[in-house]
Amino acid sequence: MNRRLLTAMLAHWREGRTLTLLTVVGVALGVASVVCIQTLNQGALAAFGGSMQAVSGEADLTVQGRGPQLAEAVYPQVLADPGVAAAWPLVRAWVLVSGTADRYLDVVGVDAFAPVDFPLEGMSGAGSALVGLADMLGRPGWIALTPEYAAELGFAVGDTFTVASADRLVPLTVGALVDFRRQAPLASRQLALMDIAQAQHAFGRRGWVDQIDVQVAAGQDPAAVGRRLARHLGPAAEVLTPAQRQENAAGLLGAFRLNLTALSLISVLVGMFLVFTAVHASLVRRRRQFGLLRSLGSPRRQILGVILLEAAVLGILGTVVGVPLGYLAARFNVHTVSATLTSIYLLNEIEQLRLPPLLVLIGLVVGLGGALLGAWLPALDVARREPLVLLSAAGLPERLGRLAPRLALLAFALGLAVVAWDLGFGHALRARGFVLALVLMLALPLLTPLVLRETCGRVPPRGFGWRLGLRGLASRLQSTSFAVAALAVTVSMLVGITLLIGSFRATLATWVERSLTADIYVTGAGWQRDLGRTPLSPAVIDQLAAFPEVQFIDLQRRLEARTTDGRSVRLIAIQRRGSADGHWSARAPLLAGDPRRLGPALDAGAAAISEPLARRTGPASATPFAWPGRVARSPWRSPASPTTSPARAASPTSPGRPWTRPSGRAARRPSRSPSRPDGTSRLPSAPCAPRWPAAPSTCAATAAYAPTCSTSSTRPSPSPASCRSWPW
Amino acid sequence: MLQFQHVDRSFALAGAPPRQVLRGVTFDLAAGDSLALVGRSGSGKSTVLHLAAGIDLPTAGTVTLAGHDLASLPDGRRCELRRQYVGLVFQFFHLLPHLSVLDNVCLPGWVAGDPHGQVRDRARELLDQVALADRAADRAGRLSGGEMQRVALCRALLRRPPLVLADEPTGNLDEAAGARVMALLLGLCARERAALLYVTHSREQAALAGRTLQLRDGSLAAAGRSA
Repeated sequence: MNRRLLTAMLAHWREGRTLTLLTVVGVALGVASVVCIQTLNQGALAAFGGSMQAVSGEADLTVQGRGPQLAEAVYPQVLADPGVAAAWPLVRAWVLVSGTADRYLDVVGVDAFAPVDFPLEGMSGAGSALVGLADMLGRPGWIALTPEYAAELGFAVGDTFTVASADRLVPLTVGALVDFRRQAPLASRQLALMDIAQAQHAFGRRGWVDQIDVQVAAGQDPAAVGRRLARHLGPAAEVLTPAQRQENAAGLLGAFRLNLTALSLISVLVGMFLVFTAVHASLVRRRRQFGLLRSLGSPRRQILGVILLEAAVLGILGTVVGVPLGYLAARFNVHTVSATLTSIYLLNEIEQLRLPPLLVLIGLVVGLGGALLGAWLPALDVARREPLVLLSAAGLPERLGRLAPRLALLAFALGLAVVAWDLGFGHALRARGFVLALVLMLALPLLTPLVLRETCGRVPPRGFGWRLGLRGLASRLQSTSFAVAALAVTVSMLVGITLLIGSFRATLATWVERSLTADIYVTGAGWQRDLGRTPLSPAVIDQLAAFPEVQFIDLQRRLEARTTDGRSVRLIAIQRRGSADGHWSARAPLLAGDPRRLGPALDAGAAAISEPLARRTGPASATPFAWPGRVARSPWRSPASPTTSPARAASPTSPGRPWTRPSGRAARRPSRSPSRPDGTSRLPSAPCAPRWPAAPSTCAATAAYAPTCSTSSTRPSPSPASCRSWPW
Repeated sequence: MLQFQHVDRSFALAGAPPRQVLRGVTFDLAAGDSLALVGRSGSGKSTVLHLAAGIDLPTAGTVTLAGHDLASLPDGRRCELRRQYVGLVFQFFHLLPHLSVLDNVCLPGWVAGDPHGQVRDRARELLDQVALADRAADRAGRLSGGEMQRVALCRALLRRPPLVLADEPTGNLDEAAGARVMALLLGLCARERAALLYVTHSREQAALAGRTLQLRDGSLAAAGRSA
């Protein structure tokens, strides 16, 4: 391609500034949306990965409960495996900094003798590790914050503050700063480090841990050790490599990321329509230029090359604008997305956004590819024309009119194929909706020329203006049909999204109407983050029930759990005190099954599953749910309905005393770290115990949609009963 | 250089019988000769030029350019022949208005991928010959009709084609300007030893050619040799 010829052809941009700008804007918007969405998607995973790396970076394996927690008794079983070189339990708790609305700490309770070197700094005792360790173990409420978060909260080493966890108020002292980002640059600034026993005691986790990190002995295959551990520990626990944990997080976010990605691809498609329209209009205007070039001896491929190179330059310009625009949009929206991640998926906030070279490359591919794809058809059309046709004073004759029936036939064939696919196996696919939407977006433009030709060409003329306009639409199908198709796609998307939102609103309204029947909702502070891990204490529930104005209360607890086949489920446990007859059927309307049997079945420990879950698991699923300590092995029980299949779930073992190292095999620590005097048991946490508030001292009342414990004073209570804590 | 043998050309029309524009046209044009095509509007004069340039193909018969039967060649090869042998002058000039005069003249050289320095020097030389050297940097869109056609002449002759085809080169100009352009066209072609085939409605301009062919309803009605 002659550089001067290309430069000469690009010079026309000066005369068609609007079209050029439209093309660049179209590309830039498409690129920006992709870059924005992918930056946020990657940021979400990186936030999880960064925190995982900071906390469990030295672990080869992690043992987790399939329920929200893991019984402490599992720890000695892990240590007993010959392939385990070292193992250390962790307690995780999201706690709210008192006096703030949304400042949480992601507390990591760790055994001080675990073979993990956390980058502590600013400890008393001139940085002595021994003194720091003694502080961590011996000073009640000792906690290490990240330097960023300490600065944000205005705390310095030595400061005391209070955090709220469910109905507990816990005083803490900043004993040190821990710069997790030295080890993992993407680690959350909200991470905080505590002694495990103190964390268990302070946050009501006695007898429970959240995970056990494992270092595999030298020469051992982590995968093999993991499999052995999984067999040994049974289905109540799962053993994961760091990569599997990352995969689980990615899987959890799969639908979320897919939705965002699909939306960004729609904007790419819209950008491509803009490019197509702009390039087409530009080429129609410049057809004589190309006719001249052809008559001067320019071959078709040279014409095609000139047009595509022009589009490529526009694509690159659009990318140059779109990539920073997308990154800025991501920064602008990061808090909204972050809120979704933390409230729905219980993952870490996105604190840092990065624009890796790969994402810039993706932006370039999208921008360049979109511009080239958008320009391809008009470029091909012009390149294929004979020079005489291009030089002619009349408009370009159009072939689209002749092709219209065949294109419409193709659209119908596509529609039939996708319906057959959907009826066959497509409905089981998560991306089913997107496939249907994509086919709709392809079929509509294919159908448009015929519809336009047949409608506009046959409308009886009612005046000069109408006749000219409608005949013009029908005769210039090549340009008009794309504009109409773009409008049709936009309108169909608009209708689809409006219906979706309307349906969601209706569902939400129904749910609110059926679920929020109480007058007052009482939850623990920070329940949104620490979902299901720290319930209200029995004393608070008793206090609530004892109020003379309270007629009856509902107890509700939500738990995140994983089934033995790896499915994430959210269990809502409800214990109704003094409920009226028909209460269950009013709250959980059955789509199928006998409503009279539901109450007794639930009382017997069964579970009712939602319609979407039933759709995924199939009718009368035999999938057992695993809970901390034990697994419900019974298959789904009656009634055998696809939407209300109850399952038995067993209660776990009861909580025990604060963390003490088990005798026998113990977690090993590098030789430079201080070791415990007796080598088997840790320093007692007793000194701190008396200083904790013995009884619940606070309880947040809120009108949240998902109450942890609710009370009502409006309905008659046939048999008021005393509150007690849920057995889990 | 150029031979037409029993050339027919008809155009298909939607819902109507094909319209025959040329019927059995036969003539030839030797290197360095000049030939004027005259006839009424719609007699097929321009079609003869399009067929000669290879931008249109005959329905029957053969058009031979420099020994090559154009109809038998693929589009790429016809483009190559056009670049090598043909210079085209249009009635409506077909200059690119956003380019400079010099760039417009250079265009065939750029399409062919000739060395830029050589192309630019040749373009300046031609512009000098048509007295437009001082307008080389101006935008082509700012020129008068006569000036535009002079630029178009330079563009047609840039690569020293052995055959120049001119479709009513003075049709858009007044009499005086037309006469100047015609004189330049003939003079330049003679200087470059290029054969010239041009279409005109003017008897005076037709008389300037070595030979004249008259087309009537697509057939050659008469041929004459100028004095």
